Amino acid sequence: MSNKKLAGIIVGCIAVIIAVVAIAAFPPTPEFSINVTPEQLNGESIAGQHCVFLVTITDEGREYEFPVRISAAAPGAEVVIYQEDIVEGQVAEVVVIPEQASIGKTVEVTVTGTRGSASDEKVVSFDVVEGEDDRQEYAGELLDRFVPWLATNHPELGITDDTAWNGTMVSPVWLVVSHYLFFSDEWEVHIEWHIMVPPYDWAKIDLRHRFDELEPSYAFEIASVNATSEPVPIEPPETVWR
Amino acid sequence: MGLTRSRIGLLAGISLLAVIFTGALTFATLQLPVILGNWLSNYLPDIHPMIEPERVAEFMVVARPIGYACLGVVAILIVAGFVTGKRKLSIFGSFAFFLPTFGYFFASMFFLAGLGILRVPFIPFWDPSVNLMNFGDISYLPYVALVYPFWLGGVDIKEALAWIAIGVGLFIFVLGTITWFYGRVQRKKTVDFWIYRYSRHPQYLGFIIWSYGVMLFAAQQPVPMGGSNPGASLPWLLTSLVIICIALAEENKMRREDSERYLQYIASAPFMFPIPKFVSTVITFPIRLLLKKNRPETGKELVATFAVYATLLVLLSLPFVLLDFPAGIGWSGWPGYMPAIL
Repeated sequence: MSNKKLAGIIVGCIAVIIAVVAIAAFPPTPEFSINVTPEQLNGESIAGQHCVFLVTITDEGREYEFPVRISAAAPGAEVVIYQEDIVEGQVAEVVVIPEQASIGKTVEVTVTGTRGSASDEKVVSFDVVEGEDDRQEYAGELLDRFVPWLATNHPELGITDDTAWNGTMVSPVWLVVSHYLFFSDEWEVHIEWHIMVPPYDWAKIDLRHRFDELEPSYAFEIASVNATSEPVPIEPPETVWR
Repeated sequence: MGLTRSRIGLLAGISLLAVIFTGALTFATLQLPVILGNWLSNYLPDIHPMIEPERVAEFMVVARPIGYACLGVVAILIVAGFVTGKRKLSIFGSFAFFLPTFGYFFASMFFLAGLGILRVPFIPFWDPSVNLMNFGDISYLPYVALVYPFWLGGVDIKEALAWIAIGVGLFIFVLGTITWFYGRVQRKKTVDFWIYRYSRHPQYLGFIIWSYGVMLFAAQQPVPMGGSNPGASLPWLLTSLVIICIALAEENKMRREDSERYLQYIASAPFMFPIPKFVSTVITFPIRLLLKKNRPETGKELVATFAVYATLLVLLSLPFVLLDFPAGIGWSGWPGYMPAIL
C-alpha cells in the first residue's frame, strides 16, 4: 500500500467522522411544545398548599415515541414532579409547594421540557398569601359522602372505601363556594361546596384520571348535604379547578 | 495429541486452576475498584455541582489539560507500538485507554470524585456539545438482543450478563495464558492445542469479552438525580479494534517466522472464535474491498484497516446518537421498569 493511498484512506475516514459528529451535533430536532394548565390559579395560594400544574406536550410535525423529560424550578417553593417522562397524550403533574418565606411574594414556576437537543419552556406564576388549611376536615367528611356511593354505583372507577387520599387546600381566598382537592394514586377529586342553608347547601365533585386526562371526565352532585340527598351524575366541568 | 490418562489429569488440573484464577480475578474486577474508590475518596472527596459549582470549575481548570494530555499519551503509545513493531506499547496503550471505565464504578455527584478521577482521559470526549462517548453504542447491540427478550418475559438479566461476560472473558484469558505457558515449556513455536484449537488469540478474546462485561457494568451504574450515564462504549470499541489489529500484526510476524506450520494452523483454527462462514465473509468484506485480499499484511494496511473499521462502527452508532437512544438517563435506565406479568 502506498503512502498516498494510506493518507487518502485516513483523510477520508476523518472526513466521514467529522461529518457524522456534525450531523449529531446539529440533528433535525424533534420539535415539540409544552402546555401548562392552568396558566393562572383561581385566586392566591397559601404556604404548604400543593399547587398542581398539569403539563402536556404537543409534537410538531409528527408523533415521536421518545418521551419528553419534564423538569421545573420555582424559587421559594418545593417542586415535586409526577410522571416526569411524557409523550403526547400523557399528563405530567408539577406540584409546587410554596414555603413560609414566600408569603406576600409571587412564586414563579419555570417548567421545562427536554427531548434530546430540543427543549421548550413555559413560565407560570402565582401569589402566596397568609392563611392556613382550615377546610380539610369538612372536605374529608364531604368526600366520605361520595366515596361509598361511587364504590357501589361506579365500581369501574376502582374507588373503594380503602382508597387512600391526600388532600390540599385550593383557592384559599374564595368566598361563598369552598374548594378542596384530593388525590389518590389514580384519581384527582375536586370537591366544592356551597356554604348555604338547606336546600341550597349543595356539594359537587369532579374526577380527573391522573396522568392521561387534562380535564375532569366525571362529576356528581349532592343537592343538599344536610338533607342527605343521594349523589347524582352531572355534566363535568370543562377545566380543572386550581 | 491423544488423550492419555495423565494428559486428562493435566487438563483437569489446568482447568481447575483456570476456574480458581477466574473466580479470584472476577472478584478483583468488581471489588478492587470499590476498595480503591473508598481510599481515593479521602483525597478526592465528592463535590455537589449545584451547591459548589465554583469548586467544580476550579477543579476542571486543572483536570481538563491533564485529561487531554493523558489521552494524547495513550494515543501516542498505541501508534508508537504499531510503528516501531513493539506491540507491548500498543497493548499497554489500549489497556490504559480502557482503564478509565472503572471510574464509573464509583457513585458520586461530581464525576471526577474518588475513583472517578480515572475518567480524566475521557474529558475530551465529553467536552464537545455532542457526547462523543455514544459513538460506540453499536457495541450494545448484542446486549440489547440478549436482554430485551428476557425483559419482555419479566426476567432481568442485565447485571447477570455483565457478570457472565467478565467471568467468561477471564476464564478464556486464564486458560489461554496457561496453555501458552505450557506450549513454551514444551518448546513449541506455534501453540496450537487445547483452547488454541478454537481461537488463535484466546488471551485477546478473553480481554475483549472481559472488557465488554466491565463496559456493561459501567453503563449500568446508577446516576445522580438529574444526571445521565454516558457509558464507555467508544473506548471499548476502539480498544477492541486496537487489540484485533495487534493480533493481526502478531499473525503476520508468526507467518514470517514459522510460515508452513502457522499457515496450517490458521487453516484449522478460527481467528477469535468460531463463526459461520457467511458472517465472516460479511465482516471481512471491507478489507477485501479495500486491500483486494483477505487480511492486512503490512503496518500501513493495518492502520488503514483500523481507520476504516473504526469509521464504519462510528457510522453504525450514529442512529443511537440521533435517536437519543436510550432516552433519559442512558443505558443505566434501559430498558426501564420490568413489565408486569399477567
